[in-house]
Amino acid sequence: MAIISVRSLSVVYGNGVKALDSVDLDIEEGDVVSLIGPSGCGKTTLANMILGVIPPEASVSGSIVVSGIDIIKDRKSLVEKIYRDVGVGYVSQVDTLLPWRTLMDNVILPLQIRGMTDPEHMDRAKYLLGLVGLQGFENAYPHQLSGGMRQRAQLVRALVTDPKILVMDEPFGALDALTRVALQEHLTRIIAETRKTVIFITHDLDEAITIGTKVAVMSKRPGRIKMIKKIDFPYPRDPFKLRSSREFEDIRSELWSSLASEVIAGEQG
Amino acid sequence: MSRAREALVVNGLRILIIAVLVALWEYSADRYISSLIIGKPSLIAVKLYEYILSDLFREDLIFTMQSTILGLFLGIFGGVAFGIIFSHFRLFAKSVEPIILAINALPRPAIAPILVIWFGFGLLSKVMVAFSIVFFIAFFNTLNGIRSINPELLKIARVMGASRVQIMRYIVIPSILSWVFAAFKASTSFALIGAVIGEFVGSTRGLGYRMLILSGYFDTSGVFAILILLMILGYSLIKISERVENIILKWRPPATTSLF
Ligand SMILES: Nc1ncnc2c1ncn2[C@@H]1O[C@H](COP(=O)(O)OP(=O)(O)OP(=O)(O)O)[C@@H](O)[C@H]1O
Ligand SMILES: [Mg+2]
Repeated sequence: MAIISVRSLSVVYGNGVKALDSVDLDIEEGDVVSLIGPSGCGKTTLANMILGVIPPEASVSGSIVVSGIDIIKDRKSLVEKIYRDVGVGYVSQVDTLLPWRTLMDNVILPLQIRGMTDPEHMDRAKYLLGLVGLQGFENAYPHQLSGGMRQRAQLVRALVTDPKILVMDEPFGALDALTRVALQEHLTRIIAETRKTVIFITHDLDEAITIGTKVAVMSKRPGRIKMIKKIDFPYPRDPFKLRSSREFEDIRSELWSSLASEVIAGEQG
Repeated sequence: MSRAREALVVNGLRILIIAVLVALWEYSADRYISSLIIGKPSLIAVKLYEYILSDLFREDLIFTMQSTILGLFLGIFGGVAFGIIFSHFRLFAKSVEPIILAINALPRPAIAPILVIWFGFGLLSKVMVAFSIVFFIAFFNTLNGIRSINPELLKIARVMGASRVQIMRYIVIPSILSWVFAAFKASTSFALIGAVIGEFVGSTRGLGYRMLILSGYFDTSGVFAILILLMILGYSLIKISERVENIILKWRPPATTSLF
């Protein structure tokens, strides 16, 4: 059974903007779904819906079931059970480090909230900080870090409780190409080791293929899932090797044409 | 210019400006304008010296400081607490907001007589006048602070599984802290104003009360002496609160852009 199941989900924001139009998406446990689509097509909206953070003024129809709980119909306290019992890691598209906390205090916030500040988890936080190249900055405040460093810190914060579900909204957007590829490799290793179910939003087609076991292409706004392509490369992956392979090229051009028709169509609307 | 040099120049200029002003004042008093009207620095210094050595001074100072500080802290605490509670009940808040705005529009000197009738000639009525000003400053700043909380932060806290209390503790309180400090700094002088107004209206003690008595005797230099004391008191309160703010809000980025 799918751990996340979205059925004919439509979302209209308070100002009348229709962000999603009858979206259907099934995500099995262990799936890593890369979500790609033109800017403004509703990717962040879809992620927010699945996370259960629905803007109160939006009108929503359809259903979202996560781990047996109906996000839209069930009581808030049940939705909160997902956060506590299943565990959700979230990397926001925008900067969400708390400016009054140091880097270290920021990444351990989820541990504090869930009462998990034991040495083992604290060590995990330090290990992850090292992995993304942030050791030595533990005591810096967010305003003393670069945009890319803040993004990496958000990634650590999302991983520190070892959640089962990981939702990442353009987590590597502000990084240079090299750091980006290195982090893609780390991420696939972490996912493979800890068996997570992942939604990975990106604008970068190569990245979508490198990370995803499935790539879902969204249409322009109002967003629908236009096609889903299975990516069968074994996990964890080596981005450098992958990208020079023939199969990668084939998948890439197939997805590219699907995406390009949306972007061109998008320019008219 | 190096930092140390700049500090030297600034301090030097300050002393010079004050010295020139005081010298001009001393020179003009009784020469161009009667010292009965503008006082005279040398007379003021003598009055100040005599007053500070008297027992009255200790009594007055403690009285005014007590009402200022009590009014300040109770007002901040009450205003912040009420602001937080208020923001939890949206419809109630919307309905009551104009009433609160109207009450806040009352000039405080106008309600001071009522407060003295209700709370007597002692400390309590002065505390209440100060409180009645500070409370509203803290209340409105807290509301603004809560309204300007970054909704993304509330979102990530919720997804982390934070309870209402934890969201309060980890997100809301730290977010509004800089607003609370802004209210605190602005309130120090208002609390002092409130305390002095209270003393004007009805009291048996306090710096404001003493000033009123002295002005009844046309003791202009005496009045100036107390004004100077009030100035020092108000200024110290602001400086202390700035220090505390800088310690608690040490995470804030320093202002890097300067208009000049
Ligand atoms: N809170 C909101 N109120 C009103 N409209 C909104 C709101 N949030 C998003 N929208 C609109 O919904 C549409 C989809 O937005 P969304 O943020 O989901 O796009 P996206 O696919 O994540 O885009 P990007 O790739 O640029 O991040 C956009 O047209 C946007 O203007
Ligand atoms: Mg987005």
